[in-house]
Amino acid sequence: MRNEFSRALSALGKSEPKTVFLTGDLGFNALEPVREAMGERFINMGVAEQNMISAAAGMAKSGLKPWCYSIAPFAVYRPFEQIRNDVCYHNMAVTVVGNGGGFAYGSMGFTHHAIEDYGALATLPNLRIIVPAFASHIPEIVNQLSDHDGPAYLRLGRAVASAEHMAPDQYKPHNRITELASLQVLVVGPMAAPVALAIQSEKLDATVWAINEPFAELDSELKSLIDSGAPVLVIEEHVQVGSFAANLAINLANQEISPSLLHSICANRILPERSGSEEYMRALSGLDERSIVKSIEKILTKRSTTDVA
Amino acid sequence: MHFEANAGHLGGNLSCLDLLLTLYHCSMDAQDLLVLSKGHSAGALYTTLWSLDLLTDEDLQTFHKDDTRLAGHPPAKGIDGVIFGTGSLGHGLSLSTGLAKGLQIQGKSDHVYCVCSDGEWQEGSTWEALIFAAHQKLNNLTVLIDANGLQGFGGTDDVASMQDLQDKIAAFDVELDVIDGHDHAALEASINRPVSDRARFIVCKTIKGKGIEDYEGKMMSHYLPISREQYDTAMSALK
Repeated sequence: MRNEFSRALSALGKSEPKTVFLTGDLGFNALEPVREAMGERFINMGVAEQNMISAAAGMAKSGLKPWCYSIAPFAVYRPFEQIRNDVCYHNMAVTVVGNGGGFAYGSMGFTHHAIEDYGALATLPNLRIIVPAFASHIPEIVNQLSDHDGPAYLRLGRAVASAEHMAPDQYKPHNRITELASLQVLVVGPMAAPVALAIQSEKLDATVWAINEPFAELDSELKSLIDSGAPVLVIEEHVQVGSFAANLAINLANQEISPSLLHSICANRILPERSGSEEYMRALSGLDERSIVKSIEKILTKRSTTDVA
Repeated sequence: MHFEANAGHLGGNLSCLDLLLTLYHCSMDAQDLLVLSKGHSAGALYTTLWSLDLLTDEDLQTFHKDDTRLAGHPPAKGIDGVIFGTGSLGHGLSLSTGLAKGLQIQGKSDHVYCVCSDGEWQEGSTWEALIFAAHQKLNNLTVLIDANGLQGFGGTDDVASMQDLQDKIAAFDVELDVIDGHDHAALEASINRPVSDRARFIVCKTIKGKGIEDYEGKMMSHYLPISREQYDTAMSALK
């Protein structure tokens, strides 16, 4: 999604003079167009994420609209207190962009994975969290964030080109991307489309929702389906604590909506001594397509047996 | 105010009160901005703002109490003249550099002042900010360091000596001045020098707890509220 993002920011940089782009020394071979578009408003802040975030808050106070960029773990974990105190608690219009969330940088090892990022950030006030499913929605998201008068976190991942055709024309925080069926499969971010392709390929009785904004108010159609008894499977490249699934469960409980079934597949197998590609790391947690298909089949089988009984 | 609230941090407030008063009364223009990076000296800032009629006597009486706007550290919102809530050391300098850089990009002429403590320089982020301020030639930034030599649990030289902080700062491409932080004339002269092409750092040698006998230069003045006895002694000394 980085190229789409780069294009969108270049366009924004040219049209909005108050936009500034700060990078923590990353973006080689990707962000050069942004640098060219923005001139002195593109600042390499160096390997100094804490200063980058606080300085962004200062720039926002001075009247600018800063975007801060690094890979997801570096953009979030090191400067977490700065995001909390200087950006969120002051409700500053700063967007923090974390590239390569989840296991996108798989083979780089655990320091480069981000599977605790949006959960930790979701504890903070005023922060809009976006994990886009489709690269084609990036321009719309960038435009919305450009107008957004508050903090935001944008976790970019690896889009699947062959699945982009599934992107709905209209971007919504929760986008239904397939026809209605029995099991509601809610997938956070870029895994949504490949999961949908796998489900279609296996002709499974499941609807896929792309959860682009895991902490936005639940889509009314989705809520209504759950309230009417539709079973739910949540899939996300994030640990269970702080997950979209955990937060959904609490929210439903508080509204006295009891889902007939609520399962979640989260990032849950971390092997510090081993590493591998994004696919390898996802597979360790059952987040690969084959495991997900099996999980869905198991749920559907169990449901039909129960129904019959 | 502190005695009424039974609040601590008085020592660090007294070491920077002179420089805050000088800044606000003798140096800052109406549109200039100040960040109190050593947020625990909020009491000194509130007192200074009171001296400018930005806070009332009644406001000061609410210091540290329930439902107050005047928390032990500056709030993120709600007080005229306080632009950033601070309290975790090491943030303010970065906030200030961002402000200064943002103003430069927009061609605005406001000046940014930052007041930090000496102990605060043990936070790595202050050095990130210094590197940035030097590299970006933020000549619309003046940083005052309240160097009282004491910190939370010991003297700065005993805990984490930098074998002179001022020498280390001077090694960067910034302006450095070292003055007596309780000498108003020296403060004014240093702060009001014409702007150069670089960020300005002023190390202000101060005494923690300045002005209260038996409190001056003592580490306990960081945390402990003053006793009835100390309060009475100080009040009669003032009279």
